[in-house]
Amino acid sequence: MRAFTLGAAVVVALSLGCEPGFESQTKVNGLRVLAVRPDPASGAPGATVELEMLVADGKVVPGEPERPLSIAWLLGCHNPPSRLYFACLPGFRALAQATESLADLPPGVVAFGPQASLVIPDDILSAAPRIESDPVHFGVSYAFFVVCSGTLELRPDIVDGIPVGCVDPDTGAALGASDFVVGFSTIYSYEGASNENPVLETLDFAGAPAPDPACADDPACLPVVPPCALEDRSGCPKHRIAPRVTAESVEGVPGGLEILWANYYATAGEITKETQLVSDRSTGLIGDYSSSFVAPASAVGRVRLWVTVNDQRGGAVFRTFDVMVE
Amino acid sequence: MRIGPGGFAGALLCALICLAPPAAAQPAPDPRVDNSPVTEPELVTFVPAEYPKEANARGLEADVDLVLDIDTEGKVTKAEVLKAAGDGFDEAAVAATLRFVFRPAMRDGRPVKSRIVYRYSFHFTAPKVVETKAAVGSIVGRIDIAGTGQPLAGATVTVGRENALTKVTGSDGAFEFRDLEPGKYVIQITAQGFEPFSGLEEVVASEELSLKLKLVPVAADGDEVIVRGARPIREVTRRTVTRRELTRVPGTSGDALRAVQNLPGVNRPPSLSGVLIVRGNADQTTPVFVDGLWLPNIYHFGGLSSVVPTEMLDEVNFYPGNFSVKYGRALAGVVDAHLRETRDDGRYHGLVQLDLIDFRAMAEGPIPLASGWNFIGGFRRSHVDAWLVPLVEGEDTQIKGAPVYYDWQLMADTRPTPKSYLRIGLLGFDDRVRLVEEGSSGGGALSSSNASLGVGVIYWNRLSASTKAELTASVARTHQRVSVSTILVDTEAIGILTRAELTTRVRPGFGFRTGVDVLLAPYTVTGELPEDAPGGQDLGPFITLPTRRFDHENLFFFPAVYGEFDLKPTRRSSLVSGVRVDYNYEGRTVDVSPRMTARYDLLPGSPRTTLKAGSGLFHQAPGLGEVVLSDTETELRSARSWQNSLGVEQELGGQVEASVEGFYNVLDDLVARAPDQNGVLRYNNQGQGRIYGLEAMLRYRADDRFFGWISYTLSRSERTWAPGQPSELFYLDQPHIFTALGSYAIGSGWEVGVRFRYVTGNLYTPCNGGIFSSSATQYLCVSSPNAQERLPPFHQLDVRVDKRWVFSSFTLGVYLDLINAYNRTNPDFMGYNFDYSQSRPETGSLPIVPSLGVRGEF
Repeated sequence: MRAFTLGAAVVVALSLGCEPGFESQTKVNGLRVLAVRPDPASGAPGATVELEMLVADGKVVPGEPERPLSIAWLLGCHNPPSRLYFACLPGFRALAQATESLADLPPGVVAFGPQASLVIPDDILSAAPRIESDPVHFGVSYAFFVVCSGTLELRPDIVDGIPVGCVDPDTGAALGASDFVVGFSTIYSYEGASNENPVLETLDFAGAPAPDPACADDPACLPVVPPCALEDRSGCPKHRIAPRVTAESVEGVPGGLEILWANYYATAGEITKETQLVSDRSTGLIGDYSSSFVAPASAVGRVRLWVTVNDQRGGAVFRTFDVMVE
Repeated sequence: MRIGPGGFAGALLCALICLAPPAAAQPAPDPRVDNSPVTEPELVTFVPAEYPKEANARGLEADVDLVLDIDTEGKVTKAEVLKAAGDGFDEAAVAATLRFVFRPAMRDGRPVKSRIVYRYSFHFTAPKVVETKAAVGSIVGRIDIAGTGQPLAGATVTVGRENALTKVTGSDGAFEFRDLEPGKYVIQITAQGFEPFSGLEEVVASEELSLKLKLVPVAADGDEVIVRGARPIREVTRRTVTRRELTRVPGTSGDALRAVQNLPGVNRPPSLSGVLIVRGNADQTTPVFVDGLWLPNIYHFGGLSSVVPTEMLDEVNFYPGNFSVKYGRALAGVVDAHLRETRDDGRYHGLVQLDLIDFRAMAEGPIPLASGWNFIGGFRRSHVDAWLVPLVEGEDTQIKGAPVYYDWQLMADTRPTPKSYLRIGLLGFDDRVRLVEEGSSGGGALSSSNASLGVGVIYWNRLSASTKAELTASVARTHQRVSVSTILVDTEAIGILTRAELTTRVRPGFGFRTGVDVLLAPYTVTGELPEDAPGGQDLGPFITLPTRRFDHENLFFFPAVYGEFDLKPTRRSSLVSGVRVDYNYEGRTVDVSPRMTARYDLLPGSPRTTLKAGSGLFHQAPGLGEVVLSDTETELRSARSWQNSLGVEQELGGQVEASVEGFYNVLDDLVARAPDQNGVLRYNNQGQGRIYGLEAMLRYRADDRFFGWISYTLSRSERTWAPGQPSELFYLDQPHIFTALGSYAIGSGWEVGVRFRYVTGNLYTPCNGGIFSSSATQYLCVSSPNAQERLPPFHQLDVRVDKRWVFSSFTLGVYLDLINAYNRTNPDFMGYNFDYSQSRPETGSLPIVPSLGVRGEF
């Protein structure tokens, strides 16, 4: 391990502000998957885990009709060699080579839509290697997913990733990262233990409860913030986003307490703190893990924000809400 | 027709004219010139002129008056005819006087330049018939002081078989033995304060064997770093950098160890890491020694400054490979820096320097009430925190820091007897960095502290003309603490280093050296490290990495013994062969390292052409991190390198020399990590590799006006990390490394230097997009196995300008070291956006930095 050096500090100091960095991951301006919530958060042998995907399409103006998306899951990879996700890929590639299309893949291997059901095999624990350094014996299952704004197609020629491609249905051209997301979710099965998803007790925006999802379609229900046209963005008002999880969300794990963190996203404007620690391994819940929203320079109208809270064992919870910038 | 020295006489006609500062702020090459009385130069080497043929045939004689400029080494740099004589006498007199050697003019004990008028008289004498007995020959010669070209007077030359003959050299360093029966003769030369010489020569009937020899001073004099670039003795290649070069290489702010990085075979280190990478090997494989004792921390953080000030160094020797058995525990090369002896002139000296990075002060002189003892002490503190923190601190800035380093040195030395030397020294440093990152994912703090304090002793004694014993020992306590958010590593160690060595010349042409080299270091390492295996938990954003505490306490014990002999089978050839045996207490292993080097003067004399070759084994035990983090079931062996090299050195006349060397190294038992069947990473010794290439250097050795060199390295470094895996380029592979630098003293105290470097871009593994891990809420890079691409090349121009003013009692210097003069944004790694859909080269190197410094010394 190397310590951060004086020299690197000098380089950082002399380069700050000289050249713009990449856009922050908090800005959702393309097709994104922000979280997957497994229910239950951990899968007992033989159990069925319902997977719910949080898809964010930044190319669609919030409030406008969503564009059609093709969403598929590739399931059935349990306890791969070395417990590594990419050890599942050869198996999927072999299946892709033997199959004409995604729809022809065996049931239980493929699912479509933002939700999927994953069946945990009965031998998930007995077939898993027992390693002394593991705090608790466990098995692992991987659920891969692809989200595409065009058409999905099997691609057995892909050797270093999921054998699925995404193309424009009209031109057949491959779509880029802003229209095609590839990912996976890790589902743990513990021996003599289980995990629960965090629970979001409250979510406040600018000092008031964030709009309830039930009234998301009513613009009158949405908080209104003025745009900020200041060139020096540090002078713009910061509208606090403050989620609160229940105390029970922090479960005990071998060696301490569960670690939780929160991520913040928006389709416009800026988020001041993209990721915040919610619960520390040794001290538990952090007092303040809020972030802030800074309105964009112009009155763009509806802006969508997301808050996700994850724990270190695959559990998740998320909320979506809109604000009006006018 | 040759004229013997007694055939005519020269006369010194006019008064001395010295180049002296007439007023307070007049610059002069010698910084210690003042208005004290001047001692005239004295001719010590007279060179007879070639008597002009036509004039000789006509029996003509003449006097030629010349004006001679003499430098501080006593050499004649210019000879101008003042009163011509014609008939070829002028040209002959100029040619001869340019080869005169004087004892230079002295002012207040320091040599100064001078100008004299000299009359060269040509007196015709009848040809001298040299009668030699058909059955006898002779040996004539001259002995110079190595590195100066000055003749050595008072040296005892012994020639003999059964009945030895002895002569003592005169002021011209010359000697001669006549009427010797043909056969082999042992020649031994001894002189107070010089390394003895012994050789075997053959006398042939009716022939005169002419020898020109150089004796090496035992200790350097004055403040000049010893130049030993002429001819390494025990190694295939030894490259040295003189003091003048160390303090003037552009872009290095006068740091000695950073100057070494401009030599062939040295790779450009990763951004500002300050590590030493030699011939495509990993870092930490080229240790730095100070007087034979290993120095584990050579740079303050960032590699901007080494922990030993250049002003305290006597010489820096760099061995890129195939080094002597004296050094071990190294897989690549060796840097051995030698601290200089204190000046024994009875005066106090000091210096103060302030530049962009740090402030330093130094004092030197006799110790009161301790006759024969002198001291030298120094202190340095960085002040980057003073200007860096205000620069970056602010409400919305991401980095806050207060980096600072100190180092201090205090040494005292004496010569208990004329043939022995004793030094006791104290060295220490303290580096602290603390950075707090706010506003981005993490919110953690990064802090690093590294402190060391040690005391050392060096003692050597010339037991006889042919035997020298040396003992060095040091004890140092080091404490290093690094924490990054929840990750912590705290290391404490006490290092005890000892070396005892005996060097002897058994007989002419055969020498032997043996020694014991012991490193003993009890240590403790504690901290919190992230777990390697998933362990049923996901890797979320950085600060949420689960960690495990560890405590490790053990002992590093590396005793070693070594022995080597050096042979001179003929006058042109030398062979050095030795073996080193190292024991590793931690691993309970014994490493045997045989090594051999050979040199042969293809064309002896001047200009010299020498062939050189070497082959040998080199071992290095696993490092602290590998020992601490490896599991108890794994026993790691030492990594091994079989080094081979072949090259040629060529003197090109004057100050210019060239060298070319090819090397081929085979590596095995390299420490590697691989996941086992359960995905747990384990250490092993399955790594292998090979490195091969070519180094070339064209150099102008430093003189009063100019120094410079062009170096080029072409190399390839490959590794295989597991059996059956395809070979891949090592991440530090840099096929082309080109450096051209030079510094020219233009006069009036001004000096200008430039350095240009070009290095092939670093390797990186490209990401072909990313895959989103929903459990970790971050993207992971997707890359093709074994895929490697190169960043754009590195190139940079550095410019340095110096100006010195010489006052009556001190000198003042100002310099501007313009680093990265055309503000090149050199790429050091590839940066990606959050989902790896976009990429661009990112820099970790300095932008244009005008480092301004002020220095005063007396």
